[in-house]
Amino acid sequence: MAQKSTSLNILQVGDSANITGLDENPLSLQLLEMGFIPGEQLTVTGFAPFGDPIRLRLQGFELCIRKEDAALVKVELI
Amino acid sequence: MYSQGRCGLGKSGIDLILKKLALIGNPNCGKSTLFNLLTGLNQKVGNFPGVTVDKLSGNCKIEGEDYSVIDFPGTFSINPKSPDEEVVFSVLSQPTHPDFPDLVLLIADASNLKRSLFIATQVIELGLPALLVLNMTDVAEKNGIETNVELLGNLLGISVVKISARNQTGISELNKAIASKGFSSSKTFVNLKLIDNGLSGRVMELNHFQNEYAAFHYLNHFSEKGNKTEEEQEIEQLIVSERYDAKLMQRQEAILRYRAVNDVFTQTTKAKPVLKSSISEKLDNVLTHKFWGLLIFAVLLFLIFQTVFNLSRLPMEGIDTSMSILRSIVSHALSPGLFTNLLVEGVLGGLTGIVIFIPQIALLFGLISILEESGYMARVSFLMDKLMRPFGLNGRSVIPLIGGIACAVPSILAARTIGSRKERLLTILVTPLMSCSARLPVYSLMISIVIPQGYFLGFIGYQGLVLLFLYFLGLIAALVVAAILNFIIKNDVRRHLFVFEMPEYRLPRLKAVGITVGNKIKDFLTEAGGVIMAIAIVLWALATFGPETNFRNIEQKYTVQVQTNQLDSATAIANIKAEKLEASFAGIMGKSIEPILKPLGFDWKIGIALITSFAAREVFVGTMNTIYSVSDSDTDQKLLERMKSELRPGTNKPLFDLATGFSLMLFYAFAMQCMSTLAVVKTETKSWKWPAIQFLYMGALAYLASFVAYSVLK
Repeated sequence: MAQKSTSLNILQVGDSANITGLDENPLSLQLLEMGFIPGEQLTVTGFAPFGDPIRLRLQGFELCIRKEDAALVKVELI
Repeated sequence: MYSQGRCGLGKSGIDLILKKLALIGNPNCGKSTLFNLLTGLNQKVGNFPGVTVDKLSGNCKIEGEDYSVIDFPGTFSINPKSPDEEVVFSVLSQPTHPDFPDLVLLIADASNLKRSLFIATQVIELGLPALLVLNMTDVAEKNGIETNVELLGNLLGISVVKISARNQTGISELNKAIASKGFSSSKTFVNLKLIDNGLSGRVMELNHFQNEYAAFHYLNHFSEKGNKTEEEQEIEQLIVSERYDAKLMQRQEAILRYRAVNDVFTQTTKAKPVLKSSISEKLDNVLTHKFWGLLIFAVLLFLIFQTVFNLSRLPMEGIDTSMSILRSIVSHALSPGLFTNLLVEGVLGGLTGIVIFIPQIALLFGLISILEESGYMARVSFLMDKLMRPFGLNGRSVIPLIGGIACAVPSILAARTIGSRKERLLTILVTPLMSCSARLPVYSLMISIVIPQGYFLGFIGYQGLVLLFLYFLGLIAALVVAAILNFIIKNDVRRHLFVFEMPEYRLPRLKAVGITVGNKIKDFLTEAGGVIMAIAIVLWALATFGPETNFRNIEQKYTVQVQTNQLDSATAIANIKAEKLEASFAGIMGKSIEPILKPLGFDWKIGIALITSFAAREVFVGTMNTIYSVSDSDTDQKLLERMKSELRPGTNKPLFDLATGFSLMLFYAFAMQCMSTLAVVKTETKSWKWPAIQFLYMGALAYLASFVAYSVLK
């Protein structure tokens, strides 16, 4: 399967992806500290009732992130 | 006030220095559970010096020695991103800080070790004496996660103790470890290569830092410094010449630290792959479902109101009855006079007004803490975020708003978890519109008077339905006002992240709920209780005293009437009381605002209650009690019946009809009648501007709503 580069906010429920990097942004530090480290794998597990935020599994725990913040996370679909 | 800092020798010569334990860890790592376990009901809320962040501390005895335990706000990193997290950094980075700990208990979630180790290694690297408390070992075991404690201790360079705060296992081992002393930590996990350029060496030298990591944080926060000393100017020049980029360095630290942590994690921890999806996942598929999730949330809210309203009725009636028995015993036992009057009407009356709250506070905080304990509250934030955004709020605003149903004061403090300044300010400004528990006695009283008992569809009580309407009204008003203010208040310079963990669902434990409820009641009794009692006594004085000549004239008038047999003495006494109240200072105040209140359907007695309610809403019921027992000779008749039989002046229709009842309830729904809330808003926003705006807009809203309701319904 061909690998596809995109950002986290584009993924669909059930999609798994590897984090490839974070945008140059002052907010990126907090994302890094929450575990959004390049090389880690994540899986989108759901969306909130109105389509946003995203629910995802990262490093064995469940996180919730707004789509606009998820846009900072660059990923490669697995 | 918390004062067991470094106070040295006390007056008696006994050493009063308490060893300080700091609890540091991620949110949801069981930190608070351990804190409750160590301190129980022996907790107090204070402030960290110089900042408004709440300091939850408590004393405990471990192996015969007294300790002061501080529960620090949960955080993922010591790099601060909110005022709460700033406290963690400022205390841990300054050995001279009065709250600087003698020992840091690093609380790690054994079922989620990797992320717990991030902040743990930061604290270790700062060189603080630390002990790793591996909590939630029961959950980890169930999930097939095994950790080699000995190896973990070696790799981290500190002792590790396995516990489960929920099951209370490993606590005696923890106590022994705390008492064993001799802690030190000196491991380095991240090589930042700062020494090479000499910058950190110079910083360490000038600031007497023991390690490079402290210098690193000093450099990262350097740009926030105001007036710089000569030495600091030297550092500033070095920063420029070495092209030190704090933001880049922090990001690099995070990546390197995660690698180091990952290394420790993979060496020490073995996790069996879990094949079937966990219970939490299954629950989330339903509870965060776009239809079922919202429906369940709505049903839960409905159940909470019905429970609080219905279950609290019986104990409240019990309190009411026993207090009135106590009052009549006291008034019969003592000789009549001013002192007896003060004791029975002022002090015991005020006490009733305080104690009567306990059932509602217990029920509401009980239910809210069950939701929080179970992990459901995080789902509420997730469910509601998109819905809250158009109003300028976010999912995190939901918890302060829901908390506002109990009390705006702690809820406004809870708004601190909102990173964005604007979203936080909006939440603070509208939270008092949510119907707090202090409004409930007013609502209950008015509902009992103007809404008939009886059931819609045979099981939904009309009275409960009206109450639900009032709560929804508060919510809608809060959202609409937030949306309007969203246009007026200017945007943040920088956007804030909305990212948080959804903890695994857990069965709430009754003991933890009990401790939360107990501490809430204690807070209420000591803080709001004092205000209510003071108001009750001031009110008693206002209603008992008045201009001398007016009082004398009333007595003379009736003395003559009794002497000439125009009136029997019992009626005369009743009339004297009624007229004296009218002539009292309280009566004068109530009457002077009557013209403004008439369009709302209120008389001067309600006017008096509105004046006293500006201290706290619940004082309304106490005032009504005082007013109606002072002006009525029949002391055995209950307030309810007295208010029902009150006639509108100049008519023989009841004063408290549907129109006045709704008008009054709406006034209380919207008006800013709480000194404590205004005080908290002032400390949280650090200016009188916002509480003033809040007071005015809520007052205007209340007057308008009451006016419309009365005009339509009368």
